[in-house]
Parts: sequence; C-alpha cells; structure tokens
Amino acid sequence: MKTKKPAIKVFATKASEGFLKEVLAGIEEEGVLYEVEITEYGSSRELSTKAANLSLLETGIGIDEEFASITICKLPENNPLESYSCLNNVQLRLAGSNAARIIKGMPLKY
Amino acid sequence: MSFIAGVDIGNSTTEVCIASVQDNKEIQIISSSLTMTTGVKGTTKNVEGIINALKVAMNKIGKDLLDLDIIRLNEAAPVIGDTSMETITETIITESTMIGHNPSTPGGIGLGIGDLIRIDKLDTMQKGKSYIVVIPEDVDYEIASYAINAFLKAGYEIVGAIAQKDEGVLISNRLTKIIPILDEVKYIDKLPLGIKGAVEVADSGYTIKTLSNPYGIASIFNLDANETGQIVPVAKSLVGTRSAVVIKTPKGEVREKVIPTGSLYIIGKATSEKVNVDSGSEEIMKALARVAEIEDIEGETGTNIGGMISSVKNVMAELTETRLQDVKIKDLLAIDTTLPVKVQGGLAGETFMEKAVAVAAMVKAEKLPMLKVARVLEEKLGSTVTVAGVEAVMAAIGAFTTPGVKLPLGILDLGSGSTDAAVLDEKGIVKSTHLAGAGELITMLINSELGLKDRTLAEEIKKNPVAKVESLYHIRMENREVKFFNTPLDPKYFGRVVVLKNEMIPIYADISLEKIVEVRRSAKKRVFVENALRALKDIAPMNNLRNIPNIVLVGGSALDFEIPEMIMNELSKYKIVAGRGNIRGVEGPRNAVATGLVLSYTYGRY
Repeated sequence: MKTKKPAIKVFATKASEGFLKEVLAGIEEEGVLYEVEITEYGSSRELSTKAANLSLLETGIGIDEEFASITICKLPENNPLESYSCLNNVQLRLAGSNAARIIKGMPLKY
Repeated sequence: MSFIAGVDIGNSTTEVCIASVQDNKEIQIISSSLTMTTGVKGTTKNVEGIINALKVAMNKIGKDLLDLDIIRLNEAAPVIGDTSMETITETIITESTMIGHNPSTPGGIGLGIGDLIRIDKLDTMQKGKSYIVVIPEDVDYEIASYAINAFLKAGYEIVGAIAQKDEGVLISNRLTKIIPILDEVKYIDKLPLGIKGAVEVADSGYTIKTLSNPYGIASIFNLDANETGQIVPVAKSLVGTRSAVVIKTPKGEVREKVIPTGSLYIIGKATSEKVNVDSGSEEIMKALARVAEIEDIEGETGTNIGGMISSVKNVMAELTETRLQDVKIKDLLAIDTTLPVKVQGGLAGETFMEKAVAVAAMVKAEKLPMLKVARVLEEKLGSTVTVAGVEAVMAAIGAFTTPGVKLPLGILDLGSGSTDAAVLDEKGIVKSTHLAGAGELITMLINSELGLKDRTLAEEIKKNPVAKVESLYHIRMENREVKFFNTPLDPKYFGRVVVLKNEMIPIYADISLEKIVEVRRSAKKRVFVENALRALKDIAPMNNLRNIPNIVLVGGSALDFEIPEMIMNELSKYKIVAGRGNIRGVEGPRNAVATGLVLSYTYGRY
C-alpha cells in the first residue's frame, strides 16, 4: 500500500525480519519516517524497487537474507543504488541512514 | 625562403611560433604549439620540451625539424617566485576544555549543566545534583535510553548526554524527558569525568547561544573577568555550531598565543624599513611601498620568516649558479589568510581557523643560463639558435598583434610564479616590471583557507567552476543553472560539491559550495587585482594609470574563467580598456612572447 506520510517504504522477507532493527535505526537517527511491510518471498533488488514505487518519498529499501538494497523510483528497475551485506550491523545501519540521506540531499556515508 | 621559430620557455609551459621568411624579409606566421616545460626554466633540461614543441608545430605544416633554419629563444626574465605561509596565532587548549562540532543529527534540545558521569556509574549519582551522562560506543542506544529513563523515574536529575556513536536522535526519541544530546564525539574516553560541564543543542535551523557567548560560559562556570578573557577563543570557535560541550577542568587553560614570526628588513637604495610580520599584510605592504627602490629583503635570523626567506634564496642560488649573497629579493607580496589548525586536545577533531600571513617573494638573478640551453639545442638540431630579446619587450611586440589596440600599450603577464607588466610607447620604448605573487600563490591560498591539504585539488578548484550534485540525475552549477544527465551519476558524488572539469571531481571535505566560490574569488582578487594595480602604477608614464589607454592580458592565468573579468572591472574605474589578449587574432592570450621573437627578427633592433 502506498505510504500516506512522507516515509521511506521498507520491504523485508519473513526470514530477514531480524535485520530490520539496524536498518530502521539508521533511518530514525536521520530523522526520516518509515513504513515496514513483511512479505513471504522476494529478492532485495526487486523488493527495493517495489518499495520505492510505494513510497511518497520515492525511496525504498528491500531486505532479503543476504542484502539490504536501497533505491529510488528514478533508477532502473531491479538495479538498486547500493546494496549492503546483512552480515554486518554497521552496514545495515548505513543502508538505513543512506536511504534517508538521499532524501535529505546529503552526501552518503561510507 | 627560410623557416624561423620563436621559443618561449615559461615556468610551466613552452610555447613555439613558426614563420616563413621570404627573401624580401616578409614574415608570415604559419604555425604554433604549446607543451609542458621540462625541468626548471632556464636549465638544459628544457631542451626536451622545446624539441617536443617544435616537432608539434612543424608537423602541423607537414615539415620536419630539419627544415628549421633559425631558432630564437627568449631571454627569460631571471625572476623566480616562491611562496610560503606562516601562522601568526596559535590556540592551545590544555586539559580538553571543550568540544564544538556539528554532528548532522544531535538529539534533543536545550542547555544542560551538570557533572560528567559514565553511564555504567549511574548508581553512584546523588539526589539533588545534576548530571551529564557519557555514553561510549559499546553501549547500545536502547540500553542507554532504558537506563537513563529508569534513573529519571527514580528522581535523579539527568540534564544532558554525550554519545560516541551517531545515535543522538535514537536515544532522544526513547527518553521520557527532553535533554540535549551531543553525539559523534570521537575521543569520548578522553573526557574528564566527575567534573562540571555544559551541553547545548540548538533547535534545528538555529545555532547555539549560550556556549558561543563568553559571558554565557562565564555565568555557567562562575568565571571572573580575567578567566572570561581566557575563554574567548573557546566561545569564538563555537560560533555557528548547532551543538557543543564545554567542560572546565581545574587546570584547564585555553589561550590564543601569538607566535613570534620575526621581522622583515626591506633594504632600499635610500631608505630602509623594518616591519614585524605579526602586524599583518597591510602593514608589510605599506612598508614595502615606502621603500622606493628595493635592493634586497631579509628576514630576521632564527625566526619563521628568516627561514622562509633564506630557503627562497637558496633555491635561486642553486638554480642560477650564483653565490647566495648575490641573490636579492626584489619584491614581496604579503596576504592575510587563515589556516585551519587541529586543536591539540580536541575531542571530536575540532579545528581552529588560525591567522596566517602568506608571502610570495620574487628573486632576481644576474641572468639565467639561457646560452647553455641554446648551445645544447644547436648541437641537437643543427639549426642556428640565438638568445634574442628581453621577455617583456617580446611580449609587448606579440601582444600588439591583438586586434583593436593602439600605442602606448600596456601588457599584464599573469603567470604562475610572478606577475609581469610592460608598457610599449609610441617610440618603441618598453618599460617593464616583475612582481611577486601569481597563480601559485592563489593555489596555496585556496588550499589552506579551505583546509584541503591537497594541492592538486586546490589547483582544479582554482581553474574550474564548481557545482552541487542535487540528485542522481542533475547538478546545480554555482550560477544556479541546472544540468541533467541521461544516466545516473555515481552515488559517491551524491550531495557533494564537485569541480567541473572534463569529468567531475568530488570534494569530500565538508565545505559548502558558497564557501568554495567565496574563497576562490577572494584569493584571485587579493593576488591579481592587487598586483595588477601595483605593477601598472610602477610602469605607467608619470606613475598615473590613466596614461595607459589599453592593457592586454597575457599568460597562463589570463586564460582563467574569471580573473580577466575581475581585472577589467577594476581597471575600468580608471577608464582603461583591459581584456584578455588575442595574439595575431587567433591565439588568445597565449604565444605572445614566441610571436614577438619571430616578428622582431627583421627589426634588427632587439
């Protein structure tokens, strides 16, 4: 469902719910709103495009068991801006904060 | 018919002009080229670059190097500029008394004053006292906020927090009470605990009010007038930040001290002047103007300026193979600047903008060993090589080919090492001058004032406009224009200021576009506009600028995208026509000296 507020849409597969906390913390620290939806299956790439299309801010995050991908509507489908490994909490936090920083027009963190 | 080449060896480029000479001595210019100078100007290492340039120019007209009959080298003005910079103030903070920085997302809002306590020691708090909690990076934001909430509920007074990780907002969102939280403090373990401190976070869009005010700090720590005076550098450095911490340690001490940089002795023919470098550039330039004909400039031995001046002289002595005592500094340009210096004992990598003086010095030697260069070139090519003409005269003759000029004609040669000027009058007499300070000095000023520590990047910023990457598909130039791209830009450029060369060069330092443009333009103004006026006053008939009706700008920096306009604006106040030269109507501001060398071949005078 399309977000009603200016929020980043986050899609996560059931198996990757555990990775959500760090990603969401990254978004929250930057002061941006988010909406989470859990799906059965999907790859982080596809999910990020799907999420971006449903976000009022045109920015989405897709999370599967391996990667957290961030993208914006204007980018080609299934070709996310950046993908971060789910094995590393610092990377997951970066996924969240960088998605927010794109909206704020700030340089990405590395 | 024979072929003749004029060769101008500059500090950074070697320029060539080729002409055919008919038997009736009619000269027709047919080709030109430009390459990088190899080696230091005036040394035999230049030969390689000269041959390259000649090859390129001859190939353009389908001829070979062997077809060249005569080569004329410029008698390069034996002036070499060198630049240096010295800070004249230094702020020392001992015992880490402050943190002032701009984390992008601090938490909460307000001013909190209390004793510093680590989060694992919260159980030792006393009721009735105020505390500021210090949260190291191994404590998760959820745990930290849970602990603070628990103690707040139990009636303890927690008024602020300092966190190591970027979690200020996360902690703040989970607290039951709004307190100021400063985050991203790198060296948190260096914070003195159990001591009174103050944390301030301003509302978004505002900057801090209390900790950037000396009396504000004095009220918090009960400072007397003397101590308040000492705290001024702290307050000054916190101006404009959104969040800050100030801690007063018992032994803590902050002071701004002035480093003795030494004095300059300006020795003239009739009078001499002594000026203290600490007094700043304006005083130095005034003293310089008071001395009519400068014989030499010396620095006080054993001081910063002394070391700097002697290193300039050493370089020049080596190059010209003259004795050190024969090398004389004939001009100097001093400019006030600022230099970001890392605060010793700072906890978040703070820097202070220290005052500094940048100095460009110009040294004149007897003569550069151009003859040697000519001999080597002659051996290699077999054509007749002569050293012909004084550079300023040749430049004036070359510049006179610019359409739309008349005599007396002034030229301003904006180089990299020195600013040269000459005036050619109706009788064919040329008066010239060389001044210290040019392109190199601008690069140095940009590099230091923006705190880049990257000369190459500073050079690019000097030469090209900047833009901000606003989305993955468009950038906004410094003149507000927007440019779109068909394919998404590399995310590493996103949100950054980039230099617009052929490809974009990102600037990773956190500097706004406006600041970069401001520093760039002011550096150019301070060096070239100042020098243009100084040089022209020097050579103008009766030292009156208005006696030169038109001025042609030549040299590498005349190609700059904004320097010629700046000089034109300034000179138009004196009703002078000034603009970028266009040698022979085709070359732009390049090739003036090489063209002059060729054209003067038949004059027989030079």
